[in-house]
Amino acid sequence: MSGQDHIEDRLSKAMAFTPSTVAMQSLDERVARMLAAPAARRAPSGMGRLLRPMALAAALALTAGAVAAALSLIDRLAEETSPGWATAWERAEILGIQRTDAGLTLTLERAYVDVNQVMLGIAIDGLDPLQLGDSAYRLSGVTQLTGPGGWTPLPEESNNVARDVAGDESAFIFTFGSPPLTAGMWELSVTSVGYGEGNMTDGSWNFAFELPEPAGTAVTANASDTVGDATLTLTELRVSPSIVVARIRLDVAGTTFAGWSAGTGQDGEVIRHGEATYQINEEGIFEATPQENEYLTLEGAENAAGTWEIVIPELGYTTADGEGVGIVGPWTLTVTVP
Amino acid sequence: MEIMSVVDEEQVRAADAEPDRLEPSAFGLLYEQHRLAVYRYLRARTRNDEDAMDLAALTFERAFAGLGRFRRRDGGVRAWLVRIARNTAIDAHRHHRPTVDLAGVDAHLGRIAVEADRRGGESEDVLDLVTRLPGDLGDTLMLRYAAGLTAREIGVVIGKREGAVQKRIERGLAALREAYA
Repeated sequence: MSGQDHIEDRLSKAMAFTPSTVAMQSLDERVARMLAAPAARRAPSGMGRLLRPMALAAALALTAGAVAAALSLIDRLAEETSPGWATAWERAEILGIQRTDAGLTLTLERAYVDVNQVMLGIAIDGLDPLQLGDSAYRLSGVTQLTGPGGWTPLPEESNNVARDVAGDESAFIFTFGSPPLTAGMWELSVTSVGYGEGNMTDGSWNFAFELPEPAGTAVTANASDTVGDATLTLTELRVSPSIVVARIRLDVAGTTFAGWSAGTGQDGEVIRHGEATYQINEEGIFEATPQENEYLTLEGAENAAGTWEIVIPELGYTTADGEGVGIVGPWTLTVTVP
Repeated sequence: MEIMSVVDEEQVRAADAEPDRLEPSAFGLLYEQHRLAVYRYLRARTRNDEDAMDLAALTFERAFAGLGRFRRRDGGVRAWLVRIARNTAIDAHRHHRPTVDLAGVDAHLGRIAVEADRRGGESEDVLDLVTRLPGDLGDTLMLRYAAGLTAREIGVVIGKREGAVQKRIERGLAALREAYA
């Protein structure tokens, strides 16, 4: 057993809490009691059965299979990952380029680029079905992407991927950030796909395709707000149909720090544009630039014109000595895009 | 350049079979199917059986009240329930500790330094280490190994993309491996 397997096994065992029968019975009863009031209030006709949901559970059934699988695996993957990905997939160039090697057929279904990311979707036919078990399985692909002007993506930090498996059909959709801002030819080379070390199939699947000029608007900015000793500065805002990205720098008077974080998704970090409010869902941290982070949404905007407001309620930074320091704001950064 | 993510085919198939909307009449089965995952996640977070049971009860109460807001495209029933459980636990934590604790923030997640405290039982050891991981690494591992969510589902719960979740899982595991080296 490898070190990682050992740790995963140890974690699984440590977290496999088994409640006592009495405790679980108590929970069952408490849930049933709590459900009773709203059930009675909201649905007087026939909803009294919810007072005893556990006893009736066997008689109730989720309508499994009621939703027809009208979409293909890769379409569903794009649609369900995020609103921004669904938009990108909808607007992507439909390519359908097939390459077969080593018994596997890879189809580059679609490709999309805007000022924030390039997205590629690949369907794979012929991979052996996963051997099911208790462990999570790792699906990997080794790729090399080249864009106009010889552009290549930054290593791993700018990469997001979603994938899915159904029988022997598999699909990848992946993105890279900071694409080149010109139209031109792209080349994608896939050299290995499979389920991780010891289960990879090597081959050569090469794709060449053309993409238009990226959609969206990128503006440099210098909008600051200071709370106490901490100043946040919006240095760049990139607005595209699939995502909005704000690049923000932290300066703390008299202090050097190893990195900082505003967190995401829990404390009201938002980007506002007119009447629209976008939740900040992801944070990009770059070791090469510890002062600057990126804050990303999961959906994009069609039109960048107007006033944008980025609100950061609180943040924390790590000093050179490794000490964590928290500061409460809020900071509000405003920029107007013509 | 490598692209990778965690996949559990059984979970993917199960999620695919779920309906787009949930009917109140299905809540009993939903509860039976997912109560253990919700409990285990909350038990890992709270380290206390009584608190975990309290929060689990609140979670299902809130879930029932919000049935109409469920959409399968938001990540499936289990991710939806665990997201409610997580928010319930966060609310409870804030209630007890009104000031925001950012002491654990470490923007450079790769610089994790955790030393194993080998006193006590092995399960408590590893749980101690998980709770001491910086940022949301510990929570990510609890979502994976206590609630049994896939990286994709975790992404839905914590508002991050699957690839970012996978990186967090790997960094958390790497920190634990280092601690036990």
